[in-house]
Amino acid sequence: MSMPDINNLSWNELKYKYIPETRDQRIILLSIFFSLLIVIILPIGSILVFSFADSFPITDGEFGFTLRHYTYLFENLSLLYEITLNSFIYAAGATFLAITVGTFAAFFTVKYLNDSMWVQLLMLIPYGIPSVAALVGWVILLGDVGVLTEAVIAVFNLSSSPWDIRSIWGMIFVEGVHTAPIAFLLMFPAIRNIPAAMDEASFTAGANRIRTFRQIILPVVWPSVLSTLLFLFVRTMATVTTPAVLGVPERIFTFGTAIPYIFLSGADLSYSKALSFSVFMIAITTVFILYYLKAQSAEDQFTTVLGAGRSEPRRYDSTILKQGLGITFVGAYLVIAGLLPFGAILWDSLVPGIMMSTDLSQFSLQNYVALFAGNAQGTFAWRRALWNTILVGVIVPTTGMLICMLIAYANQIIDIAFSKTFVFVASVPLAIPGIARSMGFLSVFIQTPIYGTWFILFIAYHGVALPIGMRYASPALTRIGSENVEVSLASGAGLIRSFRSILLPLISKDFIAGWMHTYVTVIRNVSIPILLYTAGSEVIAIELLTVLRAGYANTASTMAVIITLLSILPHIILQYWRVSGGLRGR
Amino acid sequence: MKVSVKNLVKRYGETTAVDDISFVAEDGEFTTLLGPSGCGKTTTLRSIAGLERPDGGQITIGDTVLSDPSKNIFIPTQERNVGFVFQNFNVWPHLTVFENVAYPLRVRNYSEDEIEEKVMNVLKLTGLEDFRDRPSTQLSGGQQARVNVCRAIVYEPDLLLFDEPLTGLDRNLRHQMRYEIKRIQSDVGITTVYVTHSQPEAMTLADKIILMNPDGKIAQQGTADDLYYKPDSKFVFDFFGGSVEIEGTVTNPEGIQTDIGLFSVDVSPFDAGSSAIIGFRPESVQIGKEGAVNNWKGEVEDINFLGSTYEFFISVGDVTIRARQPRSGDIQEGRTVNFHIVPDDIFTYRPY
Ligand SMILES: Nc1ncnc2c1ncn2[C@@H]1O[C@H](COP(=O)(O)OP(=O)(O)OP(=O)(O)O)[C@@H](O)[C@H]1O
Ligand SMILES: [Mg+2]
Repeated sequence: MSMPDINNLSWNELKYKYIPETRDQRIILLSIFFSLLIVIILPIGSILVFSFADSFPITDGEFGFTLRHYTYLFENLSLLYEITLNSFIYAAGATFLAITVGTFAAFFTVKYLNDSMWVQLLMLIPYGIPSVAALVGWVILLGDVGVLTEAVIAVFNLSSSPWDIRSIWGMIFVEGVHTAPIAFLLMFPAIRNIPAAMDEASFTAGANRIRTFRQIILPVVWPSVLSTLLFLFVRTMATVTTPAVLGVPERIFTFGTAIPYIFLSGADLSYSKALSFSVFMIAITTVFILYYLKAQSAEDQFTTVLGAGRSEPRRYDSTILKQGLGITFVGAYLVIAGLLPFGAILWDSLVPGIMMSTDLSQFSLQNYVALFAGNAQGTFAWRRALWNTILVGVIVPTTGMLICMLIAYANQIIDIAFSKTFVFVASVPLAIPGIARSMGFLSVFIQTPIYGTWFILFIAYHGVALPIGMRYASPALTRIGSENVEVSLASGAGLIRSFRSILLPLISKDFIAGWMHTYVTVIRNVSIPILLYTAGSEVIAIELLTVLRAGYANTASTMAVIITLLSILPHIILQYWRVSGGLRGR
Repeated sequence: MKVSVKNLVKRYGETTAVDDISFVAEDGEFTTLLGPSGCGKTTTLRSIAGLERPDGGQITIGDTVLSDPSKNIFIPTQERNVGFVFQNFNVWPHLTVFENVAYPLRVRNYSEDEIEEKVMNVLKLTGLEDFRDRPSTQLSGGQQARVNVCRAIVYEPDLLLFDEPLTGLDRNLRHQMRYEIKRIQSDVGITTVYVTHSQPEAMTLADKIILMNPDGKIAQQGTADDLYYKPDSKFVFDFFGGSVEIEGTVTNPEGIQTDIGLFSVDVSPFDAGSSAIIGFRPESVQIGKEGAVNNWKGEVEDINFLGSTYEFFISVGDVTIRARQPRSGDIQEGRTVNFHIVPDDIFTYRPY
């Protein structure tokens, strides 16, 4: 036998690894590659590149490089400082509120209510109301002439409103209340996984429950609190809807609103400034994301040490009183975050005219009729917006989940070249604020014919869909394992046939769960379409934001009811699956 | 069809899972790959199926080269026409029994009539014909194992591969399924390579056994008889049947001198004065018998009833000898007994 030629061998190995051999492999590789290129790499790269271009949009296909747009930002330091400070205060306040509510609710649910599925579900349901719809409710309730505002003025005989919802405090309140379910979702497993021995050791040592909570429970879940905190903070910092409705009218600008309402608005509209500002924003979120990742790995280490999930948590003997306290807490949250805002929009939508009436005989569907007949105040594009929303709402989750399943398939089962990179790239959007990604799509497509069509929204929403989809696809394929596919290959089926006929049916429930999650997120999303829609490609969320900002309360509340109805059912089914364990190990 | 594996090598980073393995499975032959956990059986099997890409060596089936890294040949699994039965029951829960088995035929674009006929043939062969429309979620373990086999043979592959397909079953069912697999294989006459770590399973099933050692190399190959009666290394001897081993020194030409005396054996392979290990199987120890040579006396320390046999621990000096026979007779704990070992039943090895 001759000596194997080392160089030759490694070349062969490289070749196997990176050059797909079968037609199916090539199709899979290329479809993933082009999807990620268009949805993620191009827009993000384009922000970076064009932020240095001396003019944008580019004319004559030529441009020079300049640092001018960055120096502009830092010459107007007070503006930059103000936006950043507002964003931080807003995000910190909302995060603090959300995590406090979420953690207490999780603590009660685990310790006194025995993980009650129904309580979990009740905590999660309010998130089914899109925040743009909830905002309509809050303006109706707490606005200057809001129902609750007037009631409080009347009862306490005040001369003016005791609060101002159009302020940073209003923003914090609304966003915090709205985000609490996510905090609950993240904190629940952390508290659930504290082994009974932790509490018991503390009790044995003579500590009471309050002391145990402060000195044992809290420190033990602290890494989870920290990572949840950072996660929510980054997520909130650049949200668009709440600051657009409650901040912008008072000229309180944040990361989420600076681009649409400062840089791309008015007479001195400048894409270049919007681009350089996007880069600035991405740099800031990246720093927090890095901290978040660090916190998360600390959390994982902690979880490993605790042997999470291996033992039951310690339940505290719950008297009726304590259970009642827990249920009251969750009930109060449900009322504040769910029933009040939804009740307000429903009521307002059923009462034509500006006066709020409790006279049942005045209730009518007139607002709905007007909306669909095309003569509601403040909107001309409702039917088109509804149609576009349903279109992207149905198609994007489907294609998004397919791409994610394909990426997970390529990575976990057939180990196609670059698949680890694909998985990474698919999750990159998590680190980039939606409004910045939206700016990226704008900069890629503004000079192409698809700008201003429905299609650009279709592509851009995939930036939302992919990170969500991966969260369902990866665990699903881990659970299925590779043998099912290998049997299919041995039976003579190719990779694509195996994917279609064997894999997809086996993970259909995960697919549907991810689909619903994506659907609910896409139809309420504001940050992506806000820079990309034009006449013809409106969506409900934007239409609603516009009429709300313009003050057409009746139209806004009617739209708000409709968008809530569109998303609440899939949201509830999804959360029901989650809490009933139907998605566990999924 | 005849399958041949030549100098197969497969590495995972630093570990060499399969190290230069060569064997041939003749047309229609039932070959088992046997060996302790982690010795590379699965890796070898998966390389034959094309589920792993070998680093070296050639695998051929009939005249077709399936893989040969040095020539840059690698035929993907789906083009190899092999049947694979995995350890876990991978009956697809979204399909009925019939559709599970029909899948490979559908992939190959057979007509509905052909599918019906071929699927029913194999279902009958395994006694599953009444279950054709059962959702596969409502099958017992044994039925699932049968569906797996049906699915792997329905398209008459050139080669049938099994990776410990009975591990998930309880003992009785495992025994029953062994015979069934053997019967089905000889009925359809497909060349078969069967991986197991169970020596009795390999001995029941195989025409030929390939025993692998923990280093991913072949220790010995041959028939069950060959491996059992002519083990050519201590590893093979150990693997086939619990053994008694005693170290000693070769005294030409008489035999091997040990702590408990001289064993008369053929010592021609050894130099005088070198050390050697002798080993024999518990059933070779003939209690209460006497021969020309190799007679000992010892005290019975312990007796275990194992169901079909009795096991005795007999101490001779500092050495404890394990013996086995079907009846306990009048042997009792504490008694002194005579025993004898036929020289042909004694194996000799160099210590490593
Ligand atoms: N995908 C892999 N990556 C890295 N190492 C692997 C991989 N698959 C197998 N190995 C290693 O290769 C060696 C042989 O593994 P293999 O699965 O072939 O053993 P086996 O004989 O089938 O064992 P068992 O009886 O436990 O199934 C082991 O050391 C194993 O850890
Ligand atoms: Mg194995």
